[in-house]
Amino acid sequence: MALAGLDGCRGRPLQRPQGWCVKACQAARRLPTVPGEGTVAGVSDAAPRPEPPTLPKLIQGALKLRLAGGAALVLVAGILLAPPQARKNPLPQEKAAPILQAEVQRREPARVFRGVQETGRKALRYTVAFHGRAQEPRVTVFSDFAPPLGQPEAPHGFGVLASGEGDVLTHVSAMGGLPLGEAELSDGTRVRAQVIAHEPETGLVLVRLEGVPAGTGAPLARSEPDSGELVVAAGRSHGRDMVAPVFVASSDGDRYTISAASGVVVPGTPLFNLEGEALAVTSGAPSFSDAYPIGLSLLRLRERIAQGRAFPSSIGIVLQPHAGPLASKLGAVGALVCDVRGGGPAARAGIRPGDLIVGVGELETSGAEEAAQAITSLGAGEPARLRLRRAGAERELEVTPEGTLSAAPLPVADAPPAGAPRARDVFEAAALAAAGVPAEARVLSVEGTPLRGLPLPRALLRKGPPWLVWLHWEARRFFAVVGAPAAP
Amino acid sequence: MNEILSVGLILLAALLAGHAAQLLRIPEVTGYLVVGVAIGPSALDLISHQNLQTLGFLSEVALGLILFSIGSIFEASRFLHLGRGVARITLWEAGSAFGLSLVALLALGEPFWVALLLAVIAMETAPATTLMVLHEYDAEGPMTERLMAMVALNNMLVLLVFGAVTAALNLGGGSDESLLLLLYRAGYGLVWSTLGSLALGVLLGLVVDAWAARARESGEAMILAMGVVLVAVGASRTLGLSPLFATLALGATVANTSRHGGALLGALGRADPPLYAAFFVLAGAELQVTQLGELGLAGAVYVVARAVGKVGGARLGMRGQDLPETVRSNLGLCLISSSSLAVGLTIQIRGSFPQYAPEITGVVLAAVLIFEVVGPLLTRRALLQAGEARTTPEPLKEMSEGAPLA
Repeated sequence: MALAGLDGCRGRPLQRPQGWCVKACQAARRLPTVPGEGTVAGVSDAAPRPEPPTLPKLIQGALKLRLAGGAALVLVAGILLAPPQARKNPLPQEKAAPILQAEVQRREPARVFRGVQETGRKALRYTVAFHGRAQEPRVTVFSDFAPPLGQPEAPHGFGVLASGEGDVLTHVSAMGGLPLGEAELSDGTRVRAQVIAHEPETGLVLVRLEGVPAGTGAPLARSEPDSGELVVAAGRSHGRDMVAPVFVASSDGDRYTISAASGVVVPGTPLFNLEGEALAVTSGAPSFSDAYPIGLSLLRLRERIAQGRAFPSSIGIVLQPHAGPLASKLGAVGALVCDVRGGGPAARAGIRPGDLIVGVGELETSGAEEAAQAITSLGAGEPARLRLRRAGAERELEVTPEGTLSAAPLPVADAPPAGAPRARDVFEAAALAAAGVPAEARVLSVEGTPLRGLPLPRALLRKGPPWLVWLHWEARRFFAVVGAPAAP
Repeated sequence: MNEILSVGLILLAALLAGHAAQLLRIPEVTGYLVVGVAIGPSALDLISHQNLQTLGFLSEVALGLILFSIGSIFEASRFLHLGRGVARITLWEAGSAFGLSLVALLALGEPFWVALLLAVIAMETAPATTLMVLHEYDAEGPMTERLMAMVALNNMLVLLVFGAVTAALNLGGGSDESLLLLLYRAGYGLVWSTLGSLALGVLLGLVVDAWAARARESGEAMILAMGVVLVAVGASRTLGLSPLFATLALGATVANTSRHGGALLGALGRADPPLYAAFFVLAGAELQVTQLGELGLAGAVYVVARAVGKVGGARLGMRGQDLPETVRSNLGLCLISSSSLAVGLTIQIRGSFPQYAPEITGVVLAAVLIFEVVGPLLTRRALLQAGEARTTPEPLKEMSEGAPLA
């Protein structure tokens, strides 16, 4: 009698003290193919149990076909009736597996990169799933104005949705100094966007998006990263996903120093820890190795907004630190204005290059940095009084600062006027070298007298060196003290 | 280290571990797990995380085979005889583990959904570990019979309850989809993962039956059996079904419809040892010893509540059944092991509900480490006390057709 399953065994002598009848075949794995000869194991004391009817004999032939058909029908129906994919887009099982390993892969740098990449993507998806939305917490920040010719290419970079109100934290370098009208979320949705705060010390910018549902955003990390901790820089640049492992070299509360294991991260790149929580955003030029904690940065920026200092003030001047020959030449303590942006508040107030700013409001300013800090701290739109010295005389002007987005300290200067001679044509090479002036720089004025060509005016020649020269070089304007003139 | 070398090392290490375990009179499973921890990333790091990832398929293959053989327990004649009693004990032990864990974690102040998900995972009993210990000690008897059926029923129950809980979570989560669609999706997921998996297992089992008659030699039978198990696991993953249900159903179908089921199972039995050894060594390598440090109070409470629930619940479930006292007092101890399904559910939680994942992962991984080491030891002890185990494992015998057995 052929039996399927576990009962087809030959018995063997009693061996157990409890009286169980021991079968030859073992539990579930090793089965002889010899049909059993009727011995069975007892399930209670030693009485042999009658052999049960063999069900397999009943499931045969037509019934098997029907069973197979029914099973196939269930499978087909299940596939056809499958509901549309849920928006949460969970990862399939095999993709989830690396996460458990990636977290403890810190000892294997070579492996960490791949694990972290997957973790990085997963981290972003975690934040999506956490808030139940398909949008990932990244924003491609761009402007709806075409950049002027000659300007750097359109800004590229992104920020991280870091709060439930739809605020994006990013770096000003990501916007190239251009105004912002729209932002593009990573699913392609465009929303109106407005810069609501700018912190000049760090270059961080807060952008408010309109129409982003409450609760969208990345969960913020609950603790600081440790020095040497691996985090993930994740986002998108130029339409391509970018995920890179980054090490936190040091962290001192309000700034992290990072070192990218591969490539340079673009400004405003969000950093995530391996739990998928948003840690910081990276800065832009000049230092790509700084990152600012999101939580603290949000607090500071909101404080600025509350105090009415959402934007640093600017009056449209460039200040030049001066020492040595310049200080001796000027003979006065103050902040030297080396450029005035046309049409700006300073230009409208009558401030000129060469003026020495000696006071901002009630504050006495003795140097360029002090004056710059004082000016940026003025309230935008509130008139302020500036005291300056020009041609030996002191005067006071009223100027109304305006809020500015740009953190770049040097605005692009206008092109030099036609006819402005080269420095090497005006002064001796040795004198230029001694003054640190490039020979190809354009001379705009000497001792306050605009220069439209050669030679130097007789009055200037009679005055004699050294001369206070205003120069234009590589989109910047600055003053220098130059000695002997070039031989005619 | 390349993967081939890793596999060789795993097998040799398993061999050493098996011998050491016999000397120390502990289950081989424990030896495999311990040696896995030793050569894995937690200690000597001879098997790296990369290796574990690449060799993950070996674990899946072995698990599929284990579940297939567990499914063969559901031969109708045997099951009709045992069924009601076993189902009752399973409901009691799983329910008690669930209830005690839930109450204890809620009392500790854990969030509701975290406590609920952990309580569901607490219901699970490891099929592979339990079966391996039974197999090693050639266990036979009423406790063994019930244990194997209970392990299968337990895992099915856990998947059903987990499916229901996650469906409820999905419904409760914030979404802008219509309620009807959400309900449909939740219901579909639950029904598809059970009914669909059963249908797949039944269909493949019948295909095997049709083909098995042509498999004349044991080698062909082995290829057929292994191939169909792998197809079941792979197809389940592709279709979003449950590999556990599908392979259980496959085993049950083969046991109940095929005259050649015995031959297939016997053929598979020859291929099992290296796969099982590799499975448990890999399982040990994946255990993160450092997780123990993150067990915390919640984890400790979870471990204790689960153990008490399992043992006490089994005892309560056996009331009114005609069973000897040795079975009553020892059956619960065999239910302590917890491993692959618990880890698998945790991975699913990480994917679907990451907001609960960190805490759940920390507790489960640490608890699994404890249960995987302690569980086999308790199972062995229970088998010995119930008199259903040999004290030394029986050496492998050649099983050939018609050969008398000593």
